[in-house]
Amino acid sequence: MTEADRAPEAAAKPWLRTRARTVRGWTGLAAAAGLAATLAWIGFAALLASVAAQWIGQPGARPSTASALAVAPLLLVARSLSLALRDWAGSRASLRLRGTVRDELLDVLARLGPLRAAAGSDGALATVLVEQVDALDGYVARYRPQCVLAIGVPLLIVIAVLPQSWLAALLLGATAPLIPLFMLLVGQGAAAANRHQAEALATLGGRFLDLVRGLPALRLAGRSEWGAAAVHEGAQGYRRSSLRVLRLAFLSSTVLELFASLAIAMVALYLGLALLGRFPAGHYGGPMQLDAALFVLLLAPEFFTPLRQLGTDYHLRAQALAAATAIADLLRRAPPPQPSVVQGPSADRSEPAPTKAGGSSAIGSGPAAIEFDQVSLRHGDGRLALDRISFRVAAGERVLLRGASGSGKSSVLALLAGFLAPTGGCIRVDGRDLATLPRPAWWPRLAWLEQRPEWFAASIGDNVLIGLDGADPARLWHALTDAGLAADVEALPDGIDTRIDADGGGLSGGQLQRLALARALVRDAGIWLLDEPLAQLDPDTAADLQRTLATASRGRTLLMASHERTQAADPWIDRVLTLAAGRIVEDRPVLHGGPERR
Amino acid sequence: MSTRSGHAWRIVLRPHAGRFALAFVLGALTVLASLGLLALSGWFITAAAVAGAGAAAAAAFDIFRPGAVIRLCAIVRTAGRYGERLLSHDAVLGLLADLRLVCYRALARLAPEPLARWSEGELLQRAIADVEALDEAPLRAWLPLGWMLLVLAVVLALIGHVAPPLALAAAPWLAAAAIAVPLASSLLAGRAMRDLAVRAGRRREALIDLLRGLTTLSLYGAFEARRDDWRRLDQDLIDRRLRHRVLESCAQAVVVLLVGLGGWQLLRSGDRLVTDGAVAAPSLVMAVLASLATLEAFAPVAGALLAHARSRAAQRRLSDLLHAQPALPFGGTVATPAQTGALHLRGVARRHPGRADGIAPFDLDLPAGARLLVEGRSGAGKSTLLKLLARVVDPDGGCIVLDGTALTDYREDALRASIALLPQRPHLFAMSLAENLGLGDPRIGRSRMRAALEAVALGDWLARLPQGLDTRLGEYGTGLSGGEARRVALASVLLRGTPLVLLDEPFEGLDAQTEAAVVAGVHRWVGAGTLIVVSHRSVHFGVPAWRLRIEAGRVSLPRRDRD
Repeated sequence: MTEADRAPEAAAKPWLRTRARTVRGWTGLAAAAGLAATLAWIGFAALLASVAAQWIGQPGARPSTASALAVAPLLLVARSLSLALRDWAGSRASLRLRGTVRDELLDVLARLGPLRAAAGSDGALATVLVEQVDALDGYVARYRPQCVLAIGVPLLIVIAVLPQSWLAALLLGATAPLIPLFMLLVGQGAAAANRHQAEALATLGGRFLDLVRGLPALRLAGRSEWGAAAVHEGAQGYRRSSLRVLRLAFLSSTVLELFASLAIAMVALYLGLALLGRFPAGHYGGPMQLDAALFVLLLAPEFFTPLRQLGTDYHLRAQALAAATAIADLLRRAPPPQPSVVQGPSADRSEPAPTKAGGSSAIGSGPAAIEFDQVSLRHGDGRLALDRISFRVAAGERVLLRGASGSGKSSVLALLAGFLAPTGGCIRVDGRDLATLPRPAWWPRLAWLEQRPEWFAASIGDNVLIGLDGADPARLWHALTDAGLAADVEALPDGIDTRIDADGGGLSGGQLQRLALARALVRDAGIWLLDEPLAQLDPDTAADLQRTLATASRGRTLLMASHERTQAADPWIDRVLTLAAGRIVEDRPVLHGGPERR
Repeated sequence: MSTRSGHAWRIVLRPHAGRFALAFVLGALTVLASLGLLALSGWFITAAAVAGAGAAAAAAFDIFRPGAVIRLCAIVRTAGRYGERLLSHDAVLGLLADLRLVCYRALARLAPEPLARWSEGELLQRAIADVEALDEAPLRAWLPLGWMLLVLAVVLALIGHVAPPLALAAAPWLAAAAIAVPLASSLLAGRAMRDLAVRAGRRREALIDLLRGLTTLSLYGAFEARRDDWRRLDQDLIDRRLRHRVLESCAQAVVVLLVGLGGWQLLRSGDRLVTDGAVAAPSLVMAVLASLATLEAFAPVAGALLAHARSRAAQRRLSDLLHAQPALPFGGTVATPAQTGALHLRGVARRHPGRADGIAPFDLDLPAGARLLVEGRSGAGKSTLLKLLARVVDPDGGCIVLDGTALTDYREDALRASIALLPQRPHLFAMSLAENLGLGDPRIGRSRMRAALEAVALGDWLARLPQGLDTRLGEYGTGLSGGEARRVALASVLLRGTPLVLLDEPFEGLDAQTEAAVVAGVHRWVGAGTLIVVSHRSVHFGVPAWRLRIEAGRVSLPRRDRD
């Protein structure tokens, strides 16, 4: 299981690195500012040491106390400014990166249209776009610059210490080869802790949510206290297992802490001995002087600070990796971009569409003839959804696509709407390749009806008139009448201004499908794509809606996907295409005048 | 409001106070050892340098005692940090567990109906994210603030001990770094942060709106405009966050600057004292290094009050949840559950303001032991009728009497022991089959569970399960077909053994043969109890049943089968 978990994470790693590189300028600035802060501190330490040396009357201590005291505040200000700059640049990098990733994700979702459901509920997708993208923050803003600092700062300090005392530099520098080891230790401990925590928290969160979701049932059964006991037990179990892991994880950073503390103590003891003249080796020439010793002592803690910070920040990387896994997974689902949309000019070069109502006028360009020519569709995971299917639908013909779930009928509709691109073959609309037709020109000709149409928390009128700002109210009523909903809407206390919820609450299932129908009618689209519009309705309501569909869709090209088990095609259907396993197994016209037999 | 939320918070916190106190002590030892390590080293080196100047003094200089203390500081710092981290995490996890429970109980009080007030995402947000923001307060605000005050006091005392005027010189700088900067930044950022949280919520809602209508918006050419609206919202939030961040890092930088300037001030003032011979150089160096070492304790404080503010915002939201009034208060006093399922409804109505689904006033009389079938189209109000009967919602008018007592007069436990409801979308828990059937009720034995599964025609299915009743069901009952899941939930409802049983579409997704078996099983199980079934199929119990139709919220008079 962990192996399977790690595979997508491994794929996310290069993605994350590539992405972080796009804001290299800002993270580089952050790292440079961090190094500048260290340089300022080195300068301040030197000044401080020289002042203290003059207190004990050390011969030859420079610069003079007065000038040292005058310059010191400037270095302190420079250090603070550098620190602020470091944070600011890191934040800039992170905000910029998150903005572009979010935009990209939204693009992908828009291209996927209804197919986004395969990637998760809209709530879950919003979580990816908001929370998961935000989880990249710490990695970009802090971890990346810190990686540079964890190497650069110790290096600067060793360079500064070396001229004063080679032994002190060695004492600190001896830990340098250990640094990668420390990073590994700290990193692995933190990563293990983080992974465990994330898993346990997800389990705990899942259990908690499960119990909260089931609360109505528990309350009605008078058993909510039992659920409380389960919540408590789960959280206590999480606490126990977490502590087991944390005990080890904290140990690794404690080792680092111990090294840091002992190194400082050892440097201090060595310096004391050298100053007393009891330890002749380790420095150059004459006896050790106080300014050199104090300078070294002040820098010793700084040597370890960035490394300790990196240990603290390591969880940011794990967090970002987990988020990147989710984000990269969503990005991978994007259909290949449509060439004509991406390259505007190429669309101009191709000849204009020979539609009878004039291809240039967007809305209401009438029914169209549709041709599938050897069309194949292979999903990203290698599954073949459609296998070289060919059929023609004449302008104004009404076709039922029948087949079990997974037979490919929804794929046919998604291809036609442009939410998917064929991996083989060609789809032609009035003789023109659909791939060369820019979506903004194609979409206004379509009406799309789903099993569960999408609604907005707005009035009934606004829900119908999406994208038609300032449309004539008469047109709206006309559409509602044709959809067989005018009487129902009039009966509502607030009429057309009655608000519905985003889940359509306020109207019944049948009324909602009629409302979706009105949406199609009001823009007089010539091509109707219906994906199981009757599936959620009870038989009586479904039969009513069928009758309305029969009259309303007259004169339009219509493709309606329907589950095998629903009743036989109504006589208003011109033709039935039966699909099975991505192939057309039957293509049969319906004889008008008689009921269709199976 | 704030005292109210503070109260709930204190109650949750109390059992963990001991562990937090211990974590504070260990943390205090750590920061003091850190401080001591640097200050003492500075003193030691300077004293050694002074002594080193004269050969006799150098020979007499005791290096062992200071050396031992320095090493002790190094070890205390390491061990203290380890202990403090472990303890404070333990305390926080314990707090988290208790908060979850408090949160769950608050939601339980509101269940079943008002849960619909919050979307699932929001529930999760409240329950999980807020609980985590809450425990930020002790870990990131209170403990660091406590250590900061301690370090401030200790360092000023130490400097004062070296030379009182020096303490006066350093105090303004250190106090400004420790107290003024965090206060100022929290004053500046506190309001902005509340605003940020509101805006973030709004952005999320706008995004969900955008995603929900994505297909429609893109097909009908309205996506780009909406997306630009959302982008503006997003950009606005990003700008505000950046400003907030800049404020935070500026506060941090100012703390660093002030601590540095405090050291510088000591250098300046000390320089005069040392040349006057009023202070020994080693002590002065110790004071300077001690004041510089305060940074380790002061730096986290710049963000402490912000963490506190975040936690307060979460506290307030949690408090809203804790003090939300349930839509259905249970004020009844009748403690005996109903003995029979005789029902009398008078003028019962339920309207949803501004919405089309609802039920117009109607009467209904049903004798004990009756079988009632409720028919009607989807959305006509059938489910609303069942919710009224189970007191998931109360009617806007009229009265429902079960076994001679109005539903509103029952105490909650008595009511729950009188009525069982199978909702249209029953919930199965990601737990064992037995737990799903009995919901932890010790009175329901395993043999009875098996019998109930037999009654819903799952006997053979159970026999095929290798782990039988201990089989774990996945989330949402995964591993079960839709029909099996519904029947497990149905068996759980039957096991409650109530005199009134309400079933919403219990036979959906069953083939004719299974349906007949389940109908017969349920009929037998309910026996002398009253059974009300909502179904759009015709159901035959083998005895005359009552039938009732609902058309657009209008309930017809029940009529009885004649067979």
